[in-house]
Amino acid sequence: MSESDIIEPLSDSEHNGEYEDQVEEEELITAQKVLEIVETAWQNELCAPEILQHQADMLELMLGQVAHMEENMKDLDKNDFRFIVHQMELERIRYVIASYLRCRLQKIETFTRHILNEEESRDVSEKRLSPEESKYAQEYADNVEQYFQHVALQYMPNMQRAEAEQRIVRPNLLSHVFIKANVDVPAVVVGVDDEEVDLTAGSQHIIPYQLVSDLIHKNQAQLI
Amino acid sequence: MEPCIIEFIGEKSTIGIVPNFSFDPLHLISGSVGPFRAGLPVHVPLWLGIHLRKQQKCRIVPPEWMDIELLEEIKEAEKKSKFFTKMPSEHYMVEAQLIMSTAPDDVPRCEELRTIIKDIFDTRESKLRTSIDAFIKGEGTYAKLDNLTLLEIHTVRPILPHSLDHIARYQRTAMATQRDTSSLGLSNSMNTSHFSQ
Repeated sequence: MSESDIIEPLSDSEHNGEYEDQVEEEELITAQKVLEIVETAWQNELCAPEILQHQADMLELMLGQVAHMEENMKDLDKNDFRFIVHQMELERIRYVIASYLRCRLQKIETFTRHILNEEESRDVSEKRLSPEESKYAQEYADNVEQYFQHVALQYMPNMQRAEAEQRIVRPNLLSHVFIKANVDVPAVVVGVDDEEVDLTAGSQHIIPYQLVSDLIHKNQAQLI
Repeated sequence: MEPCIIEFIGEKSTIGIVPNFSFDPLHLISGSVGPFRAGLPVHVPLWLGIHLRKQQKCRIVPPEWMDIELLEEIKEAEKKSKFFTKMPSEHYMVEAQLIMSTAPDDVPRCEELRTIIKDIFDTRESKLRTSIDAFIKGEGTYAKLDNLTLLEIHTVRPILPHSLDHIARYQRTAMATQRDTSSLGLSNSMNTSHFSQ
């Protein structure tokens, strides 16, 4: 590494200690790998009808890395070649993260009650929402409910008030999605009549989401 | 997913450039690039290559597949084959569009290439439409789409999944109605709020 190079990659410097501690299983995770994970999660989230497992750990690592990079760039001249290129990359990463979080918020706002109900029945380790998102969803639901109550529901006969259950908006898990298999997956059920197909690595398919949601979860396939 | 997102993803592919300046390697989060040596080709992400070209700091080396003879062959193969053939690049349309609009002077026979790439795209598009037509008439819920690029998939994205969703929904409603007619009183079980999207 040359003298003029002020930005050190996460993988080969002493800075990585603190990041690694947060990721228990994958000890030698590089910033590059984290970025890949975040980008895949982003693409999956954009294409999935329901909200997927949150990636708070990975986002935190990525944001830490971005902050670290910005710290290093602080003393550079704004017209320095390094500054411009790193700045461009950081903008791209920020865009991915913002788009990802925005997409999740949109789903939370659309399917609020449904998501909250589902979350209640999940184990701590399987929660789909990050603690912040969970708080947001709860507050959003309360506010909407309060608002409805205030402007309309209180003037309605009891009949209508009792229909909270029917007002729940649910995602259509049977909607069709495009997927790409990351690895060979044998015997995937692809139709209502239990028809099975072997997915080869790299192959692409259109299929109802529900039939492959566990493959997405296990990272055996990704949405495109 | 919108076209700009597909372009964004396509911009991650690598491209060769010949810089006219020298610089030490840069350690980007997405991987290191460089060192840059004036006059020596180096690989960089497409987004960086396009930026540098706009700043007149480099010349773009067109990808190997941007070659008239090769593309003619691909075009013929595409016409003959019943299935989609494998494209030389996963983002061929995005790359062609970005490179040829930013640096037409760096690509020999640029206009001819543009036409032939568009021809290939059109051939594939019409093939895609024909097979979708057959697929929907065949009442399937699953299909294989090997070798289609992201942009091509996107051209049928709003219409294909949505039509399939609607067909599936009608089928479920039909089945439910059949059940309901035999046991009256359950007609509320298929409330529309279950299918919000």
